Amino acid sequence: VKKHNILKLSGIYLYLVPATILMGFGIFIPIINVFINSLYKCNAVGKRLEFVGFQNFLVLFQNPLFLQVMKQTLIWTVSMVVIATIIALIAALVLNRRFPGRTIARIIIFLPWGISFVFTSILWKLIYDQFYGHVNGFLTFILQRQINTPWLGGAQTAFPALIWVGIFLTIPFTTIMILSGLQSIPQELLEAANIDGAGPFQGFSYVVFPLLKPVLVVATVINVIYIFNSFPIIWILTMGGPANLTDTITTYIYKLAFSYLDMGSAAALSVVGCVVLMSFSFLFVIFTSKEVF
Amino acid sequence: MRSISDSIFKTSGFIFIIVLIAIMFFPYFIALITSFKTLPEIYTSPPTWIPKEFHFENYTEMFGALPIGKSLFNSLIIAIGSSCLALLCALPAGYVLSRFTFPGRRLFMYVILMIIMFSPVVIIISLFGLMNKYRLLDTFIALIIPNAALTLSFCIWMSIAYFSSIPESLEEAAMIDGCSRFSALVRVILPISLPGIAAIIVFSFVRAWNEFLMANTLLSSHAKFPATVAFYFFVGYRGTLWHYMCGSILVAAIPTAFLFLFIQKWLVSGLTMGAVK
Repeated sequence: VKKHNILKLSGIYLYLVPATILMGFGIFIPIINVFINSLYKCNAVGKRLEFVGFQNFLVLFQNPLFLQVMKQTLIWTVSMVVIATIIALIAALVLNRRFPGRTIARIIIFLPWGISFVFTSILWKLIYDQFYGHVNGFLTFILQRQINTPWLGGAQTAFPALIWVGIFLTIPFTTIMILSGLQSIPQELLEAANIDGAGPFQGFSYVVFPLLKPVLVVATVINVIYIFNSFPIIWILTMGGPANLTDTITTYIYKLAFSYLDMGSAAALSVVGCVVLMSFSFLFVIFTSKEVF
Repeated sequence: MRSISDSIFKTSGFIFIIVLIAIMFFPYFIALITSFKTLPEIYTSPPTWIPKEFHFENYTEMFGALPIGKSLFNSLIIAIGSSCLALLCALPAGYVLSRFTFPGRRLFMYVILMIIMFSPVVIIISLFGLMNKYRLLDTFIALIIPNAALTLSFCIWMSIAYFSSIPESLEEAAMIDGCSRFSALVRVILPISLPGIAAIIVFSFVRAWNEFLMANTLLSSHAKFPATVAFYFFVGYRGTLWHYMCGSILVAAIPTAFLFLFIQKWLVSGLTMGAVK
Protein backbone atom coordinates (compact mmCIF):
# COMPACT_ATOMS: atom_id res chain seq x y z
CA VAL A 1 0.00 0.00 0.00
CA LYS A 2 2.82 2.38 0.90
CA LYS A 3 4.65 1.75 -2.33
CA HIS A 4 1.44 2.41 -4.23
CA ASN A 5 1.07 5.72 -2.40
CA ILE A 6 4.58 6.84 -3.19
CA LEU A 7 4.04 5.96 -6.85
CA LYS A 8 0.81 7.93 -6.85
CA LEU A 9 2.43 10.89 -5.13
CA SER A 10 5.37 11.00 -7.51
CA GLY A 11 2.84 10.86 -10.36
CA ILE A 12 1.17 13.94 -8.89
CA TYR A 13 4.42 15.82 -8.52
CA LEU A 14 5.27 15.01 -12.11
CA TYR A 15 2.35 17.21 -13.17
CA LEU A 16 3.86 20.13 -11.27
CA VAL A 17 7.29 19.85 -12.89
CA PRO A 18 6.71 22.04 -15.97
CA ALA A 19 5.21 24.88 -13.93
CA THR A 20 7.99 24.67 -11.37
CA ILE A 21 10.72 24.78 -14.01
CA LEU A 22 9.14 27.75 -15.75
CA MET A 23 8.68 29.70 -12.51
CA GLY A 24 12.22 28.78 -11.50
CA PHE A 25 13.86 30.08 -14.64
CA GLY A 26 11.53 32.99 -15.27
CA ILE A 27 11.16 34.30 -11.73
CA PHE A 28 12.94 32.60 -8.84
CA ILE A 29 16.47 32.53 -10.22
CA PRO A 30 16.25 36.21 -11.26
CA ILE A 31 14.77 37.19 -7.88
CA ILE A 32 17.42 35.33 -5.90
CA ASN A 33 20.00 36.88 -8.18
CA VAL A 34 18.77 40.38 -7.36
CA PHE A 35 18.96 39.69 -3.63
CA ILE A 36 22.50 38.35 -3.93
CA ASN A 37 23.60 41.11 -6.31
CA SER A 38 22.44 43.74 -3.85
CA LEU A 39 25.29 42.62 -1.58
CA TYR A 40 27.91 42.72 -4.31
CA LYS A 41 29.69 45.24 -6.43
CA CYS A 42 28.56 44.46 -9.97
CA ASN A 43 29.62 45.48 -13.46
CA ALA A 44 27.29 46.95 -16.08
CA VAL A 45 25.82 43.60 -17.18
CA GLY A 46 25.23 42.43 -13.62
CA LYS A 47 28.32 40.23 -13.19
CA ARG A 48 29.37 40.00 -9.51
CA LEU A 49 32.83 41.46 -8.83
CA GLU A 50 33.32 41.58 -5.05
CA PHE A 51 31.30 41.22 -1.86
CA VAL A 52 30.57 44.60 -0.26
CA GLY A 53 27.94 43.74 2.37
CA PHE A 54 25.34 46.46 2.80
CA GLN A 55 27.43 49.09 1.03
CA ASN A 56 24.93 49.33 -1.87
CA PHE A 57 22.09 50.01 0.56
CA LEU A 58 24.08 52.69 2.37
CA VAL A 59 24.87 54.43 -0.91
CA LEU A 60 21.22 54.20 -1.91
CA PHE A 61 19.90 55.58 1.40
CA GLN A 62 22.35 58.51 1.21
CA ASN A 63 21.14 59.36 -2.27
CA PRO A 64 18.92 62.45 -1.79
CA LEU A 65 16.63 61.20 -4.56
CA PHE A 66 15.86 57.99 -2.66
CA LEU A 67 13.46 59.59 -0.17
CA GLN A 68 11.89 61.72 -2.89
CA VAL A 69 11.28 58.66 -5.06
CA MET A 70 9.82 56.71 -2.11
CA LYS A 71 7.48 59.61 -1.31
CA GLN A 72 6.39 59.88 -4.94
CA THR A 73 5.76 56.14 -5.12
CA LEU A 74 3.54 56.40 -2.04
CA ILE A 75 1.57 59.33 -3.50
CA TRP A 76 1.32 57.56 -6.86
CA THR A 77 0.01 54.31 -5.37
CA VAL A 78 -2.31 55.60 -2.66
CA SER A 79 -3.97 58.38 -4.65
CA MET A 80 -4.59 56.12 -7.60
CA VAL A 81 -5.95 53.17 -5.65
CA VAL A 82 -8.23 55.31 -3.49
CA ILE A 83 -9.69 57.45 -6.26
CA ALA A 84 -10.02 54.61 -8.78
CA THR A 85 -11.71 52.34 -6.21
CA ILE A 86 -14.26 55.01 -5.25
CA ILE A 87 -15.11 55.76 -8.88
CA ALA A 88 -15.22 52.06 -9.76
CA LEU A 89 -17.49 51.31 -6.79
CA ILE A 90 -20.03 53.93 -7.85
CA ALA A 91 -19.79 52.78 -11.48
CA ALA A 92 -20.31 49.14 -10.51
CA LEU A 93 -23.34 50.02 -8.35
CA VAL A 94 -24.95 51.82 -11.29
CA LEU A 95 -23.96 49.17 -13.84
CA ASN A 96 -25.50 46.48 -11.62
CA ARG A 97 -28.96 48.00 -12.15
CA ARG A 98 -30.98 47.37 -15.28
CA PHE A 99 -31.18 50.27 -17.71
CA PRO A 100 -31.31 50.58 -21.50
CA GLY A 101 -27.82 50.55 -23.00
CA ARG A 102 -26.28 48.83 -19.98
CA THR A 103 -24.35 46.31 -22.06
CA ILE A 104 -22.78 49.02 -24.21
CA ALA A 105 -21.93 51.06 -21.11
CA ARG A 106 -20.23 48.02 -19.60
CA ILE A 107 -18.29 47.29 -22.78
CA ILE A 108 -16.96 50.85 -23.08
CA ILE A 109 -15.91 50.98 -19.42
CA PHE A 110 -14.30 47.51 -19.51
CA LEU A 111 -12.58 47.89 -22.87
CA PRO A 112 -9.38 49.77 -21.88
CA TRP A 113 -8.50 46.83 -19.62
CA GLY A 114 -7.45 44.71 -22.59
CA ILE A 115 -5.53 47.54 -24.27
CA SER A 116 -1.84 47.85 -23.57
CA PHE A 117 -0.99 50.64 -21.14
CA VAL A 118 1.66 51.51 -23.70
CA PHE A 119 -0.86 52.27 -26.43
CA THR A 120 -3.16 54.29 -24.17
CA SER A 121 -0.20 56.20 -22.73
CA ILE A 122 1.00 57.06 -26.23
CA LEU A 123 -2.45 58.45 -26.99
CA TRP A 124 -2.40 60.53 -23.81
CA LYS A 125 0.96 61.92 -24.90
CA LEU A 126 -0.80 63.37 -27.93
CA ILE A 127 -3.78 64.53 -25.88
CA TYR A 128 -1.58 66.32 -23.33
CA ASP A 129 0.52 68.02 -26.03
CA GLN A 130 1.16 71.67 -25.27
CA PHE A 131 0.11 72.99 -28.68
CA TYR A 132 -1.73 70.23 -30.55
CA GLY A 133 -3.30 68.34 -27.65
CA HIS A 134 -7.02 68.12 -27.04
CA VAL A 135 -6.84 68.91 -23.31
CA ASN A 136 -5.58 72.40 -24.09
CA GLY A 137 -7.90 72.47 -27.09
CA PHE A 138 -10.87 71.73 -24.84
CA LEU A 139 -9.82 74.35 -22.27
CA THR A 140 -9.28 76.91 -25.04
CA PHE A 141 -12.78 76.20 -26.29
CA ILE A 142 -14.39 76.43 -22.82
CA LEU A 143 -12.47 79.46 -21.54
CA GLN A 144 -12.46 81.21 -24.93
CA ARG A 145 -8.78 82.13 -24.65
CA GLN A 146 -5.60 80.43 -25.81
CA ILE A 147 -4.43 77.82 -23.25
CA ASN A 148 -0.94 76.36 -23.73
CA THR A 149 -0.26 74.53 -20.48
CA PRO A 150 2.72 72.16 -20.81
CA TRP A 151 0.96 69.42 -18.82
CA LEU A 152 3.76 66.87 -18.88
CA GLY A 153 6.60 69.37 -18.72
CA GLY A 154 5.44 71.49 -15.76
CA ALA A 155 6.73 70.76 -12.27
CA GLN A 156 3.26 71.13 -10.74
CA THR A 157 1.18 69.52 -13.49
CA ALA A 158 3.25 66.51 -14.57
CA PHE A 159 2.55 64.20 -11.66
CA PRO A 160 -1.20 64.90 -11.42
CA ALA A 161 -1.43 64.44 -15.20
CA LEU A 162 0.22 61.01 -14.87
CA ILE A 163 -1.96 60.03 -11.93
CA TRP A 164 -5.04 60.93 -13.96
CA VAL A 165 -3.94 58.53 -16.72
CA GLY A 166 -3.23 55.88 -14.10
CA ILE A 167 -6.69 56.27 -12.56
CA PHE A 168 -8.20 56.02 -16.01
CA LEU A 169 -6.34 52.75 -16.60
CA THR A 170 -7.18 51.31 -13.15
CA ILE A 171 -10.94 51.89 -13.29
CA PRO A 172 -11.88 49.12 -15.79
CA PHE A 173 -10.36 46.21 -13.88
CA THR A 174 -11.60 47.51 -10.52
CA THR A 175 -15.11 47.97 -11.87
CA ILE A 176 -15.15 44.43 -13.29
CA MET A 177 -14.04 42.99 -9.96
CA ILE A 178 -16.56 44.94 -7.89
CA LEU A 179 -19.37 44.27 -10.35
CA SER A 180 -18.75 40.53 -10.19
CA GLY A 181 -18.84 40.82 -6.41
CA LEU A 182 -22.14 42.69 -6.59
CA GLN A 183 -23.64 40.08 -8.89
CA SER A 184 -22.93 37.36 -6.36
CA ILE A 185 -25.03 39.18 -3.73
CA PRO A 186 -28.53 37.69 -3.74
CA GLN A 187 -31.12 40.23 -4.86
CA GLU A 188 -33.55 39.02 -2.16
CA LEU A 189 -31.25 40.35 0.54
CA LEU A 190 -31.51 43.87 -0.85
CA GLU A 191 -35.25 43.54 -1.32
CA ALA A 192 -35.62 42.34 2.26
CA ALA A 193 -33.63 45.34 3.47
CA ASN A 194 -35.83 47.57 1.33
CA ILE A 195 -39.01 46.14 2.82
CA ASP A 196 -37.59 46.70 6.28
CA GLY A 197 -37.30 50.38 5.35
CA ALA A 198 -33.68 50.70 4.37
CA GLY A 199 -32.92 53.46 1.85
CA PRO A 200 -30.27 53.13 -0.83
CA PHE A 201 -27.52 54.40 1.49
CA GLN A 202 -28.50 52.11 4.38
CA GLY A 203 -28.95 49.19 2.01
CA PHE A 204 -25.45 49.83 0.75
CA SER A 205 -23.68 50.28 4.05
CA TYR A 206 -25.44 47.46 5.97
CA VAL A 207 -26.05 44.85 3.27
CA VAL A 208 -23.91 45.41 0.20
CA PHE A 209 -20.68 46.72 1.67
CA PRO A 210 -20.05 43.93 4.22
CA LEU A 211 -20.67 41.30 1.54
CA LEU A 212 -18.49 43.15 -0.93
CA LYS A 213 -15.55 43.49 1.41
CA PRO A 214 -13.64 40.32 0.39
CA VAL A 215 -13.76 41.38 -3.25
CA LEU A 216 -12.67 44.91 -2.35
CA VAL A 217 -9.73 43.50 -0.41
CA VAL A 218 -8.59 41.36 -3.34
CA ALA A 219 -9.09 44.20 -5.82
CA THR A 220 -7.15 46.60 -3.61
CA VAL A 221 -4.22 44.24 -3.12
CA ILE A 222 -4.00 43.50 -6.84
CA ASN A 223 -4.33 47.20 -7.71
CA VAL A 224 -1.63 48.24 -5.25
CA ILE A 225 0.71 45.63 -6.68
CA TYR A 226 0.00 46.65 -10.26
CA ILE A 227 0.18 50.39 -9.68
CA PHE A 228 3.27 50.16 -7.51
CA ASN A 229 4.91 48.16 -10.28
CA SER A 230 3.53 50.08 -13.24
CA PHE A 231 6.23 51.29 -15.52
CA PRO A 232 4.97 52.19 -19.02
CA ILE A 233 2.67 55.10 -18.06
CA ILE A 234 5.49 57.10 -16.49
CA TRP A 235 8.18 55.95 -18.87
CA ILE A 236 6.25 56.85 -21.99
CA LEU A 237 4.75 60.13 -20.83
CA THR A 238 7.57 61.78 -18.87
CA MET A 239 10.43 59.29 -18.34
CA GLY A 240 10.36 60.39 -14.71
CA GLY A 241 10.97 64.01 -15.58
CA PRO A 242 10.94 66.94 -15.16
CA ALA A 243 13.88 66.72 -12.73
CA ASN A 244 12.87 63.29 -11.31
CA LEU A 245 9.58 64.75 -10.08
CA THR A 246 7.56 61.87 -11.53
CA ASP A 247 9.99 59.03 -10.84
CA THR A 248 8.67 56.09 -8.82
CA ILE A 249 10.67 53.13 -7.55
CA THR A 250 10.18 51.20 -10.78
CA THR A 251 11.32 53.92 -13.17
CA TYR A 252 14.17 54.86 -10.87
CA ILE A 253 15.40 51.25 -10.72
CA TYR A 254 15.39 51.23 -14.49
CA LYS A 255 17.30 54.50 -14.71
CA LEU A 256 19.85 53.40 -12.11
CA ALA A 257 20.46 50.16 -13.97
CA PHE A 258 20.34 51.13 -17.61
CA SER A 259 21.04 54.87 -17.74
CA TYR A 260 23.47 55.43 -14.86
CA LEU A 261 24.78 51.81 -15.02
CA ASP A 262 24.76 51.75 -11.21
CA MET A 263 23.82 48.08 -10.84
CA GLY A 264 24.51 48.00 -7.10
CA SER A 265 22.02 50.73 -6.21
CA ALA A 266 19.54 49.31 -8.72
CA ALA A 267 19.67 45.87 -7.09
CA ALA A 268 19.40 47.43 -3.63
CA LEU A 269 16.36 49.48 -4.65
CA SER A 270 14.79 46.37 -6.22
CA VAL A 271 15.15 44.61 -2.88
CA VAL A 272 13.68 47.59 -1.03
CA GLY A 273 10.74 47.69 -3.44
CA CYS A 274 10.18 43.96 -3.08
CA VAL A 275 10.23 44.11 0.71
CA VAL A 276 7.90 47.12 0.86
CA LEU A 277 5.40 45.50 -1.46
CA MET A 278 5.45 42.11 0.23
CA SER A 279 5.09 43.53 3.71
CA PHE A 280 2.23 45.74 2.55
CA SER A 281 0.32 42.86 0.91
CA PHE A 282 0.93 40.66 3.93
CA LEU A 283 -0.20 43.25 6.48
CA PHE A 284 -3.16 44.37 4.41
CA VAL A 285 -4.48 40.86 3.96
CA ILE A 286 -3.97 40.04 7.64
CA PHE A 287 -5.63 43.21 8.91
CA THR A 288 -8.59 42.98 6.61
CA SER A 289 -9.04 39.23 6.80
CA LYS A 290 -9.55 39.48 10.56
CA GLU A 291 -12.93 40.98 9.82
CA VAL A 292 -13.53 39.36 6.46
CA PHE A 293 -13.19 35.70 7.26
CA MET B 1 -40.58 61.47 -0.27
CA ARG B 2 -38.97 58.12 -0.74
CA SER B 3 -39.61 57.95 -4.47
CA ILE B 4 -38.22 61.46 -5.00
CA SER B 5 -34.95 60.68 -3.26
CA ASP B 6 -34.85 57.39 -5.14
CA SER B 7 -35.19 59.06 -8.50
CA ILE B 8 -32.59 61.72 -7.63
CA PHE B 9 -30.33 58.85 -6.70
CA LYS B 10 -31.00 57.08 -9.98
CA THR B 11 -30.55 60.17 -12.16
CA SER B 12 -27.28 61.14 -10.54
CA GLY B 13 -26.08 57.58 -11.09
CA PHE B 14 -26.97 57.86 -14.76
CA ILE B 15 -25.18 61.17 -15.15
CA PHE B 16 -22.15 59.70 -13.42
CA ILE B 17 -22.04 56.76 -15.83
CA ILE B 18 -22.48 58.98 -18.89
CA VAL B 19 -19.61 61.23 -17.80
CA LEU B 20 -17.47 58.19 -17.01
CA ILE B 21 -18.17 56.66 -20.42
CA ALA B 22 -17.23 59.92 -22.10
CA ILE B 23 -13.94 60.00 -20.19
CA MET B 24 -13.15 56.32 -20.77
CA PHE B 25 -13.85 56.60 -24.46
CA PHE B 26 -12.01 59.90 -24.88
CA PRO B 27 -8.45 58.74 -25.78
CA TYR B 28 -9.77 56.21 -28.28
CA PHE B 29 -12.12 58.78 -29.77
CA ILE B 30 -9.14 61.11 -30.22
CA ALA B 31 -7.19 58.23 -31.80
CA LEU B 32 -10.08 57.57 -34.18
CA ILE B 33 -10.47 61.16 -35.39
CA THR B 34 -6.72 61.72 -35.58
CA SER B 35 -6.25 58.59 -37.67
CA PHE B 36 -8.34 60.16 -40.46
CA LYS B 37 -6.63 63.56 -40.44
CA THR B 38 -3.76 64.81 -42.57
CA LEU B 39 -0.48 65.57 -40.83
CA PRO B 40 -0.78 69.38 -41.29
CA GLU B 41 -4.25 69.27 -39.74
CA ILE B 42 -2.91 67.38 -36.71
CA TYR B 43 -0.21 70.01 -36.24
CA THR B 44 -2.61 72.94 -35.97
CA SER B 45 -3.28 74.76 -32.74
CA PRO B 46 -5.91 74.62 -31.30
CA PRO B 47 -6.67 71.08 -32.58
CA THR B 48 -9.78 70.28 -34.59
CA TRP B 49 -12.38 67.88 -33.16
CA ILE B 50 -13.79 66.56 -36.43
CA PRO B 51 -11.44 65.97 -39.38
CA LYS B 52 -12.02 68.38 -42.28
CA GLU B 53 -11.79 65.42 -44.65
CA PHE B 54 -11.76 61.74 -43.77
CA HIS B 55 -8.60 60.17 -45.20
CA PHE B 56 -9.39 56.47 -45.03
CA GLU B 57 -6.30 55.73 -47.10
CA ASN B 58 -4.19 56.51 -43.97
CA TYR B 59 -4.97 52.98 -42.85
CA THR B 60 -3.28 51.42 -45.88
CA GLU B 61 -0.52 54.01 -46.23
CA MET B 62 0.65 53.56 -42.63
CA PHE B 63 1.89 50.03 -43.35
CA GLY B 64 4.20 51.41 -46.02
CA ALA B 65 5.38 54.46 -44.07
CA LEU B 66 6.41 52.65 -40.88
CA PRO B 67 7.31 48.96 -40.26
CA ILE B 68 3.97 48.39 -38.52
CA GLY B 69 3.16 45.05 -40.13
CA LYS B 70 6.51 43.66 -39.08
CA SER B 71 6.11 44.81 -35.47
CA LEU B 72 2.60 43.34 -35.26
CA PHE B 73 3.98 40.06 -36.59
CA ASN B 74 6.74 40.09 -33.93
CA SER B 75 4.13 40.73 -31.23
CA LEU B 76 2.13 37.82 -32.58
CA ILE B 77 5.06 35.38 -32.39
CA ILE B 78 6.00 36.46 -28.86
CA ALA B 79 2.41 36.33 -27.67
CA ILE B 80 1.69 32.91 -29.21
CA GLY B 81 4.92 31.50 -27.83
CA SER B 82 4.23 32.84 -24.34
CA SER B 83 0.64 31.66 -24.21
CA CYS B 84 1.48 28.14 -25.46
CA LEU B 85 4.28 27.80 -22.92
CA ALA B 86 2.10 29.14 -20.10
CA LEU B 87 -0.73 26.78 -21.05
CA LEU B 88 1.50 23.71 -21.21
CA CYS B 89 2.80 24.43 -17.73
CA ALA B 90 -0.47 25.62 -16.18
CA LEU B 91 -2.87 22.85 -17.23
CA PRO B 92 -1.17 19.86 -15.57
CA ALA B 93 -0.47 21.87 -12.43
CA GLY B 94 -4.02 23.21 -12.27
CA TYR B 95 -5.38 19.70 -12.76
CA VAL B 96 -3.57 18.03 -9.86
CA LEU B 97 -4.09 21.05 -7.61
CA SER B 98 -7.84 20.86 -8.18
CA ARG B 99 -8.13 17.07 -7.83
CA PHE B 100 -5.72 15.91 -5.11
CA THR B 101 -4.55 16.87 -1.68
CA PHE B 102 -0.89 16.08 -1.24
CA PRO B 103 1.99 17.27 0.93
CA GLY B 104 3.24 20.63 -0.36
CA ARG B 105 -0.03 21.59 -2.02
CA ARG B 106 -0.64 24.61 0.23
CA LEU B 107 2.97 25.72 -0.17
CA PHE B 108 2.67 25.53 -3.93
CA MET B 109 -0.53 27.61 -3.86
CA TYR B 110 1.12 30.25 -1.68
CA VAL B 111 4.11 30.40 -3.99
CA ILE B 112 1.82 30.96 -6.96
CA LEU B 113 0.05 33.77 -5.11
CA MET B 114 3.36 35.35 -4.15
CA ILE B 115 4.49 35.44 -7.76
CA ILE B 116 1.66 37.80 -8.61
CA MET B 117 3.42 40.33 -6.42
CA PHE B 118 6.74 40.27 -8.24
CA SER B 119 7.03 42.96 -10.81
CA PRO B 120 9.04 42.60 -13.98
CA VAL B 121 11.00 45.70 -12.97
CA VAL B 122 12.40 44.00 -9.89
CA ILE B 123 13.69 41.08 -11.90
CA ILE B 124 14.56 42.92 -15.10
CA ILE B 125 18.14 43.69 -14.04
CA SER B 126 19.03 40.11 -13.29
CA LEU B 127 17.00 38.85 -16.27
CA PHE B 128 19.21 41.07 -18.40
CA GLY B 129 22.32 39.57 -16.80
CA LEU B 130 21.00 36.01 -17.11
CA MET B 131 19.96 36.36 -20.73
CA ASN B 132 23.32 37.93 -21.48
CA LYS B 133 25.05 34.98 -19.83
CA TYR B 134 23.13 32.40 -21.88
CA ARG B 135 23.50 34.45 -25.10
CA LEU B 136 19.73 34.88 -25.34
CA LEU B 137 19.67 38.68 -25.47
CA ASP B 138 17.88 40.01 -28.54
CA THR B 139 15.98 36.75 -29.12
CA PHE B 140 12.27 36.06 -28.76
CA ILE B 141 13.01 33.23 -26.33
CA ALA B 142 14.35 35.81 -23.87
CA LEU B 143 10.87 37.36 -23.85
CA ILE B 144 8.75 34.24 -24.09
CA ILE B 145 10.13 32.57 -20.94
CA PRO B 146 9.64 35.45 -18.46
CA ASN B 147 6.36 36.47 -20.10
CA ALA B 148 4.99 32.97 -19.67
CA ALA B 149 6.36 32.76 -16.14
CA LEU B 150 4.74 36.03 -15.09
CA THR B 151 1.30 35.00 -16.39
CA LEU B 152 1.64 31.45 -15.10
CA SER B 153 0.19 32.09 -11.66
CA PHE B 154 -3.04 33.57 -13.04
CA CYS B 155 -3.23 30.76 -15.57
CA ILE B 156 -2.92 28.14 -12.83
CA TRP B 157 -5.57 29.89 -10.71
CA MET B 158 -7.90 30.00 -13.67
CA SER B 159 -7.39 26.35 -14.53
CA ILE B 160 -7.95 25.30 -10.90
CA ALA B 161 -11.21 27.24 -10.92
CA TYR B 162 -12.25 25.61 -14.19
CA PHE B 163 -11.24 22.02 -13.38
CA SER B 164 -12.99 22.27 -10.01
CA SER B 165 -16.25 22.91 -11.86
CA ILE B 166 -15.92 19.59 -13.75
CA PRO B 167 -17.24 16.60 -11.77
CA GLU B 168 -14.59 14.04 -10.90
CA SER B 169 -16.97 11.20 -11.81
CA LEU B 170 -16.24 11.91 -15.47
CA GLU B 171 -12.63 10.79 -15.42
CA GLU B 172 -13.43 8.04 -12.91
CA ALA B 173 -15.83 6.60 -15.47
CA ALA B 174 -13.15 6.83 -18.14
CA MET B 175 -10.64 5.15 -15.85
CA ILE B 176 -13.04 2.28 -15.15
CA ASP B 177 -13.27 1.86 -18.91
CA GLY B 178 -9.50 1.33 -18.95
CA CYS B 179 -8.02 4.78 -19.41
CA SER B 180 -4.98 5.83 -17.40
CA ARG B 181 -5.37 9.07 -15.48
CA PHE B 182 -3.29 10.93 -18.03
CA SER B 183 -5.27 9.70 -21.00
CA ALA B 184 -8.51 10.39 -19.11
CA LEU B 185 -7.27 13.93 -18.69
CA VAL B 186 -6.35 14.28 -22.35
CA ARG B 187 -9.35 12.48 -23.84
CA VAL B 188 -12.18 13.38 -21.48
CA ILE B 189 -11.36 16.41 -19.37
CA LEU B 190 -9.47 18.62 -21.81
CA PRO B 191 -12.11 18.48 -24.58
CA ILE B 192 -14.83 19.71 -22.22
CA SER B 193 -12.44 22.29 -20.74
CA LEU B 194 -12.01 24.07 -24.06
CA PRO B 195 -13.73 27.29 -22.92
CA GLY B 196 -11.43 27.48 -19.89
CA ILE B 197 -8.38 26.68 -22.01
CA ALA B 198 -9.37 29.38 -24.48
CA ALA B 199 -9.65 31.85 -21.61
CA ILE B 200 -6.17 30.97 -20.37
CA ILE B 201 -4.68 31.28 -23.86
CA VAL B 202 -6.35 34.62 -24.42
CA PHE B 203 -5.22 35.94 -21.05
CA SER B 204 -1.55 35.13 -21.49
CA PHE B 205 -1.67 36.09 -25.17
CA VAL B 206 -2.98 39.56 -24.39
CA ARG B 207 -0.62 40.03 -21.47
CA ALA B 208 2.36 39.21 -23.69
CA TRP B 209 0.97 41.31 -26.55
CA ASN B 210 0.72 44.30 -24.22
CA GLU B 211 4.06 43.81 -22.46
CA PHE B 212 6.56 46.64 -22.81
CA LEU B 213 9.31 46.69 -20.20
CA MET B 214 11.00 43.37 -20.95
CA ALA B 215 10.76 43.79 -24.71
CA ASN B 216 12.22 47.28 -24.40
CA THR B 217 15.13 45.99 -22.33
CA LEU B 218 15.97 42.56 -23.71
CA LEU B 219 15.66 43.31 -27.42
CA SER B 220 18.06 45.62 -29.23
CA SER B 221 17.55 45.20 -32.97
CA HIS B 222 14.68 47.28 -34.31
CA ALA B 223 13.61 44.52 -36.69
CA LYS B 224 12.63 42.36 -33.70
CA PHE B 225 10.62 44.97 -31.79
CA PRO B 226 7.03 44.03 -30.97
CA ALA B 227 4.32 46.64 -31.50
CA THR B 228 4.53 48.19 -28.02
CA VAL B 229 8.24 48.98 -28.27
CA ALA B 230 8.15 49.87 -31.95
CA PHE B 231 5.30 52.35 -31.45
CA TYR B 232 7.08 53.85 -28.47
CA PHE B 233 10.07 54.51 -30.70
CA PHE B 234 7.90 55.93 -33.49
CA VAL B 235 6.53 58.63 -31.18
CA GLY B 236 9.81 59.42 -29.51
CA TYR B 237 10.58 62.45 -31.60
CA ARG B 238 9.05 65.75 -32.61
CA GLY B 239 7.21 65.47 -35.87
CA THR B 240 5.62 62.14 -35.02
CA LEU B 241 3.44 60.74 -37.81
CA TRP B 242 0.45 60.86 -35.49
CA HIS B 243 -2.14 59.98 -38.14
CA TYR B 244 -0.38 56.68 -38.83
CA MET B 245 0.38 56.12 -35.14
CA CYS B 246 -3.24 56.52 -34.05
CA GLY B 247 -4.41 54.21 -36.80
CA SER B 248 -1.90 51.52 -35.97
CA ILE B 249 -2.62 51.78 -32.23
CA LEU B 250 -6.31 51.16 -32.94
CA VAL B 251 -5.42 48.21 -35.19
CA ALA B 252 -3.11 46.75 -32.53
CA ALA B 253 -5.35 47.43 -29.54
CA ILE B 254 -8.98 46.85 -30.47
CA PRO B 255 -8.82 43.08 -31.23
CA THR B 256 -7.04 42.29 -27.98
CA ALA B 257 -9.42 44.52 -26.05
CA PHE B 258 -12.39 42.51 -27.31
CA LEU B 259 -10.59 39.22 -26.68
CA PHE B 260 -10.13 40.30 -23.08
CA LEU B 261 -13.78 41.23 -22.82
CA PHE B 262 -14.79 37.70 -23.77
CA ILE B 263 -12.72 36.02 -21.06
CA GLN B 264 -13.53 38.59 -18.39
CA LYS B 265 -15.86 36.19 -16.53
CA TRP B 266 -13.27 33.42 -16.20
CA LEU B 267 -10.54 35.80 -15.12
CA VAL B 268 -12.67 37.29 -12.41
CA SER B 269 -13.89 33.91 -11.20
CA GLY B 270 -10.27 32.84 -10.86
CA LEU B 271 -9.40 35.99 -8.96
CA THR B 272 -12.36 36.04 -6.61
CA MET B 273 -12.04 32.34 -5.84
CA GLY B 274 -9.25 33.25 -3.45
CA ALA B 275 -11.50 35.82 -1.80
CA VAL B 276 -14.45 33.52 -1.29
CA LYS B 277 -12.57 30.43 -0.16
